[in-house]
This record gives sequence, structure tokens and C-alpha cells, in this order.
Amino acid sequence: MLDYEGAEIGRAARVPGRAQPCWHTLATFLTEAAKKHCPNGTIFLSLSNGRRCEQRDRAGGYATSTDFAPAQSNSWMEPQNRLIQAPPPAKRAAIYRAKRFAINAFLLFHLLAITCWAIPLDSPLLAAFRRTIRPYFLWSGLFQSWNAFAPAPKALNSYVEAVVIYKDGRILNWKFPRMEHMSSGERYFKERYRKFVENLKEDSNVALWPDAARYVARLNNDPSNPPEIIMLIRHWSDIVPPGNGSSAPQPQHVQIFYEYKVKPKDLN
Amino acid sequence: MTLRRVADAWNEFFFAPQVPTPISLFRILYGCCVIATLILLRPDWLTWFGVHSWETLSTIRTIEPGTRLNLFTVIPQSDPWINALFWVFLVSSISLTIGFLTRLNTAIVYLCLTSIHQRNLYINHGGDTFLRVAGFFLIFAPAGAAFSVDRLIRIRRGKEGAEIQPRSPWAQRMIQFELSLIYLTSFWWKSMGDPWVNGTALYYVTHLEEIRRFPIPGWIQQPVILKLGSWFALALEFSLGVLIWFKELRYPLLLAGLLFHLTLEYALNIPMFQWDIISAYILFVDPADLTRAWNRLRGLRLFAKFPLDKESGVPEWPSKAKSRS
Repeated sequence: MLDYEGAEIGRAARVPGRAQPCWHTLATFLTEAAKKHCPNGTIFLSLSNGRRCEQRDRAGGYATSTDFAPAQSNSWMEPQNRLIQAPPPAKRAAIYRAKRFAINAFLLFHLLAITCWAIPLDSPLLAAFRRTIRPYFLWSGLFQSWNAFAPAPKALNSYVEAVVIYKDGRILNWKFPRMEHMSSGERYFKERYRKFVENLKEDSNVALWPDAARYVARLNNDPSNPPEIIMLIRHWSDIVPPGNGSSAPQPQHVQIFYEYKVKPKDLN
Repeated sequence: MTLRRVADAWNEFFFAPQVPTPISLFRILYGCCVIATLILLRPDWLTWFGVHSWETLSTIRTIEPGTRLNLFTVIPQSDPWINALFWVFLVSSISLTIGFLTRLNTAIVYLCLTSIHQRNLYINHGGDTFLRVAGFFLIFAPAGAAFSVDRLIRIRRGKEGAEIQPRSPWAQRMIQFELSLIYLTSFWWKSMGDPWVNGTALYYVTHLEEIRRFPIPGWIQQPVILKLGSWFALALEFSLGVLIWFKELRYPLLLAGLLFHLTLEYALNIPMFQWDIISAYILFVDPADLTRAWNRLRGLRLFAKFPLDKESGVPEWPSKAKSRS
């Protein structure tokens, strides 16, 4: 007996899964099918996803059409048109095996690659593997790091502000949005600023500073009195370590970490 | 232990068909998270991604070179086009949520999400990363197989029966794996730091003014409680990374994780992070348990208008049941 893929029913028994074919029901069903719909020797079998009789195709899905209505496959792994003459069983089996192999290779690769990328372990082998998969991970967006508040949470409070010096010497103190000064609703929308400033103030992100300075200049531009210099300033204070008995706020540290001379084209 | 057994276990884990209700429900929750993220980004869309944003595209490409999936590098560099991308992204997310042209829209959502993350890497948090990675595997999942407009269309066209067909859950397993890896690596990172091991970590977290959200009761800020909390966080992350794969422990751990994340949502201002992670919890729920839960809800007569298919126990459309009777 052949199923709709043209493969022998007998092979279905070897497909991993819980259900087993119901031979009596299938035999009866096929007999009727052969009588009614068997043009040119092609056997079309449409199996019901029934309670007592279950049949799985090689993709692990069920044949879903009822009676003999043509059924469109609803899985990208299943054949699209079940009324076409099925290719030889050997070819179908080969296609199935190739699909399964491809999926297994995909799974194995990603399991290994994601694990090796994410785990906080350093070894020459891991480093070499990460270098190898890096182009794919950066391209696809699978890069990831799960070290929030780790290995240790930040032990200081900080913020950034900008000083704008205009052409006429006027000075404006412009503050980046600070979550602690906003309502709970506002800070839910503006949290990205916190994240941005957290990165901006780091010396390792010096490449971000010119664009940020230009943005501040544009934001505070006065065409009749344009800004000439932008200074980025970071403020921070250490969090009192627990148990030292003091609840007094720690002294604030201030540092100008970047100075930028604004060009006329920056203000366009 | 033989290779045959390992292969059988692998096949059972990744390919044994199951009713795709968890992945379909995840699709809905995932779509809602993406929509919410977009709504939160809307007021500052051009601030972060526009031509004259905080960080220009050329600066980002200089800092982070290499070929990347990034629509911003292919669309014309103008604010109208960038705005249009937002609307395409939003419409696609809504379509994904309702399950219309599911696979296409999953791919579009993934592409758009990756693009905005690549466009500005310095405003993203862990929830964004999870949405991105989960979105990648969701493309390969039968996410539209249930609770979707696609399924409704297929039923109306006679291409599918009332019963939801089981599918291989391999893509779902990858999202589950990603979630458990997040917890395990978080635990691993934390275990490398003295504050978490000696129990002072939560003290510092609760003293970070910039991420505080709602007030924390004074008794929680006692040193003993904060110590216990730090250790509990470590234990829970390890458990959710490893022990969640044991069926007997799964539901209690999921409940504990849910309460943990809801607590963090109250205390910390990291928008959508907790919801992004929680959304994937549904993938760990057995489809049979989902059906049982639905049956119980029906027993409350709140959802009585959705009769159950007698054989599969899955809710079916009222019109279908009516026509059959």
C-alpha cells in the first residue's frame, strides 16, 4: 500500500512517533480509494486525523484532508499538492532524509554556536570558535551577552550633562533626560536615554562622542547665535557600601570628558 | 548509553509531533511585546534611528563594521523612509500577532527588529536581544498553525479540519533552549562576582537611582532580606536554566520565575524586559495542560460559547460546531 507521498505504508511504522498505523481501517480506506480515485494507477490517499487511526508523514505532520478534497499543505515541510503523481518512493525518502539532515545540522550548529558565544568562559579553543562564527552571528543578529548586573552591579550613580557655549559667550547647561527626575510613565518611555548615557560616558565608547555633541548642538541651536563649543560632563558618586554605618550621600565627582568645536555644517 | 539511544532521545525531543498551541500562543505574546516596544519607541523613533539621530548610521557602521542584516543600510537615508519603515514594522507585528501570513510576517518582524538593533546598538537591553533571537527561530516554527487568521482561512477554504494538527516542535525547542541558556549564563556571570556570592548585590541594585521604578518597602531593604534575595536570584536562575527541563519541577519553577520577573517589573525601570522573557514561559507548558486549563475555564461558563471538539478537546469555532449539529 502506498501513502499519498507514494511511499510504502510499511515504512511509516519506522517513523519515530507514538502512534501506529491502524491497518484494518487503512486497508478498508485504501480499497475504497482505489475504486473511486485511481486514475492512471496513481493512488491518492487522504487520511483522517482520527482517533483510532493515525498516520504520520515523514515531516512529522499529519495528512489533513477529509474525503478526497484536494488539500493544501499547511506546513512548509509538507508537499503542496497531494493530487500530483508522487515521485518514486526512493526519491521521496531521499528528500525526507535530506530535509531531516539539514534540520539536524541547523539545530546542532546553532545549539553549539549560541552556547559557545554566550557562556562566560575563556579558552583558546572557544576564542577560535567565536572568531569563526562571529561574522555569521553579527550578520544575523544572534550575538548576545547576558551579564546584566554581573559579575557585579554598578556601585555608583552617574549622569551626563552638556555645556553649550554660544558664539556670544552665553553658556547653557543642558541635561540629558534623567529617569530619577521623571514620572513613572515618562521614564517608561524614555528609558532608552538611560541606556544610551550609560554607554556614552564610558571611555571605551569615545567614537560616540562627536555625534552626541553635534546632536546637542543642533538641539540647542539659535540661528542668530549658534553654539560654538559643546562639552560633555559626567557626574558620579559612589554608592555607600552596605554595613559601614553611613547613610550620608557620597561626594559627587565631576569630569569634562569631551570638548567639541561645532562647525557650521553640524547645525544643518 | 548508546548512540542509538541518544539519537532516539534527540528525535523525540526535537521531532516528536505535538499540538502547536504553545508556539501559537507564544506568537501572540511575542507579537504583543514587539508592538509594545514599538509604541514605546515611537516618540523618539527619529531621535534614535533618523538621519540626524544621536548616532548616525555612518558612525555606527564605523564602530561596528561588517556586513549585517540592516534595512537602514538599504533604504534611502531620509526621515520619511525611516518613518515608513516604522509603519511597515508595526503593521507586520500586528499581522504576526493575529496570525495573518504568519511566516512572511515573522520574517519581516525579525528583519525589522534586527535592523533597529543593528542601527543603534547602544540603546538595547536584554529583552530586545531575546526578542531578536527568538524571532529568528520563530520564522521556522508552525506559529500560525493555531489561533490565527491563517488557520481560519484554511478552515474556511476546506484545506484544514477543525482539529489542530500536531507538528514537529524543533523551532520551539530552540526558543526554549535560548531561554534556559539566558538563565544559566546569567547565573554563571553572577557567580563570578563577589557581591552575588556574599549577598550584597541586591543592595547595590536597589541603590541605583536611575533604574528605580516604584518604591520598595523598607523591610525589604534590610541587609538580611537583601542577602536572601541575592542568593534566591542565583538559585532561581540556575533552576530555570537547568531544572526546568524536569517535568516535575517545571510548573513550580515557572511560577517562581513569573513572580520573580513581576517583582523586577515593579522595582526596576527596564521597560518590556520582564514581559519579553515571561512571554516565552508558555512554551514550557504541555499542550495537554493548556487544553485542561481551557476546559476548566469553560467550566466557569465564561467561555461556554466555544465548544470543544469531542475527539481532540480543542476549542472550535461555534459555527463549525453548529453546522455539525
